[in-house]
Amino acid sequence: MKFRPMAIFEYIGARFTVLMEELGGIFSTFLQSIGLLFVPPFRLKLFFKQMEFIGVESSFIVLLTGAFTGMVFALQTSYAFRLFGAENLIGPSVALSLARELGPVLTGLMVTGRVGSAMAAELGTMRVTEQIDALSTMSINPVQYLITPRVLSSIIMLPMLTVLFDFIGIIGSYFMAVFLLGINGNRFISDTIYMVDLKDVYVGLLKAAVFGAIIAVVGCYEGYFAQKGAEGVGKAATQAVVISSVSILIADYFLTALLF
Amino acid sequence: MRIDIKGLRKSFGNNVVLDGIDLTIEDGKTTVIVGQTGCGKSVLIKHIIGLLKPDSGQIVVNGVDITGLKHSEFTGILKNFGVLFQSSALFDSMTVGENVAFPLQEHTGLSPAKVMDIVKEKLAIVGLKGVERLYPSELSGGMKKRVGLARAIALDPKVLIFDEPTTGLDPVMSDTIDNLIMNTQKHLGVTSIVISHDIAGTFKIAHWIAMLYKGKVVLYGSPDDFRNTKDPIVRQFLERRAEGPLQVEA
Ligand SMILES: Nc1ncnc2c1ncn2[C@@H]1O[C@H](COP(=O)(O)OP(=O)(O)OP(=O)(O)O)[C@@H](O)[C@H]1O
Ligand SMILES: [Mg+2]
Repeated sequence: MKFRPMAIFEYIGARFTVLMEELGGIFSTFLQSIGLLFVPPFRLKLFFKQMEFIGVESSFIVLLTGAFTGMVFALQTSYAFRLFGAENLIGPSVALSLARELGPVLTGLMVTGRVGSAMAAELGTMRVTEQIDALSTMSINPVQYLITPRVLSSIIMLPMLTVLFDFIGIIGSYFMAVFLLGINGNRFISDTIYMVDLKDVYVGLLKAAVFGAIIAVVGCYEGYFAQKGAEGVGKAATQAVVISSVSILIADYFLTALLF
Repeated sequence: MRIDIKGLRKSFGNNVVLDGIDLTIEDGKTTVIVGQTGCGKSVLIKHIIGLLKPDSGQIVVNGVDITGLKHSEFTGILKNFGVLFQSSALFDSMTVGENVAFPLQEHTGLSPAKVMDIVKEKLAIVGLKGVERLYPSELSGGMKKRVGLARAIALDPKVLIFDEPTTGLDPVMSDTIDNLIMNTQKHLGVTSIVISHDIAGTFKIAHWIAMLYKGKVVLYGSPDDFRNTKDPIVRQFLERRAEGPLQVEA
């Protein structure tokens, strides 16, 4: 094959077109699912089931990642701050980074891996085995039945998981700072409370809610429109993780720029 | 309900599946659709239930052309249909009992106890007992099919649309299902559209038979018309011979 340097532009151009179409579809699915929130019937059971799946069952991985993120962060910042004797800033800087950035983003990415892919695989299987068709022939709107509860639950649960992540992360960094680095515990707490605004926390939680919407909508969209066969389902799951991870990072940039 | 299919065409890419289908499903009668595998029988009924949109042509249900309807307008008509998918399409996150109960819970205000009774009754009709708590993954293919049937008849629909209800069932069970279709038609005046590969069963239950071939209806008529036809393609199909004018697509 002849080497064509322009091919890379063609490739990127083609990918970009596909991406734009996909984003359009994802966005309209989001609007539809939210619109159907206000149309009866309201199936509370489905919401609770999803909240449990997204929230409760993700709490353990969020706990683990939160604790270690807090610990490693305390360790890393201590090297730098020790250089100019500002160890008392470890607490506030860990807490600020967790609340503003790391909490929502890492929670979002962890939940994407667990929940986004599972949603894509589940809806994909339902698509391929005609279960979604069966829903529509029973005059049930499959978007309302399947996607709406997942999107709403995810929007609600992600901020909660982020609170858990932040909290555990700060505890992790406290242990690291106080017991291993010998920093005064009371000082750590009072400095942290003094330096962190409520605004830092709730803007972080707002981010988490947006990430929650992204995870669920992308996962559902990829599954709902999965192509035939087992291969289609696998591709939907991978695609869901890739698209929502990238979207979370891009959205994070814009939210940070806009909100802080 | 009377269903008129007029000039229905559907292609997937270059694959012309339906090439101008004209067919009437008579009210209160059983119409069986036969034809080679892959000839478009399932595609045809997916148009009737609005899952596929035709490239051209009309589907008129009780005087209303459904091809132009929005989904929300179509749901009123859909509520009269009980559909069995070829793949059964059971909800695999629900038990057998929940699957059959599902349309009842969604569309009636019946009490849970009453729903349970109907579920048991419908499962008994298709010869199943004590399977309510099993999940679809724990059932044999034939059992899944029958659960799908029970779910399709749960709301006592006016139109039954069964995609291969007896494929994969033993002869005795097949005959039980055939009797079920005949009885609902006789006693409740249900309109049935049945896709079948079972020739004997077809002759037993059908008032009308339509055979599809190469995207068209090659013969529409009563079972006697089919028994007496001289059409070589239909003859070959009914006599299940590999040799003849009927082309087996690669
Ligand atoms: N969603 C689809 N996308 C693309 N092609 C399709 C789709 N559904 C069906 N087809 C094609 O349409 C043709 C008819 O399929 P259909 O399922 O209607 O066959 P059938 O008559 O029901 O066969 P069988 O008796 O084996 O069930 C096949 O060639 C199939 O590949
Ligand atoms: Mg078929």
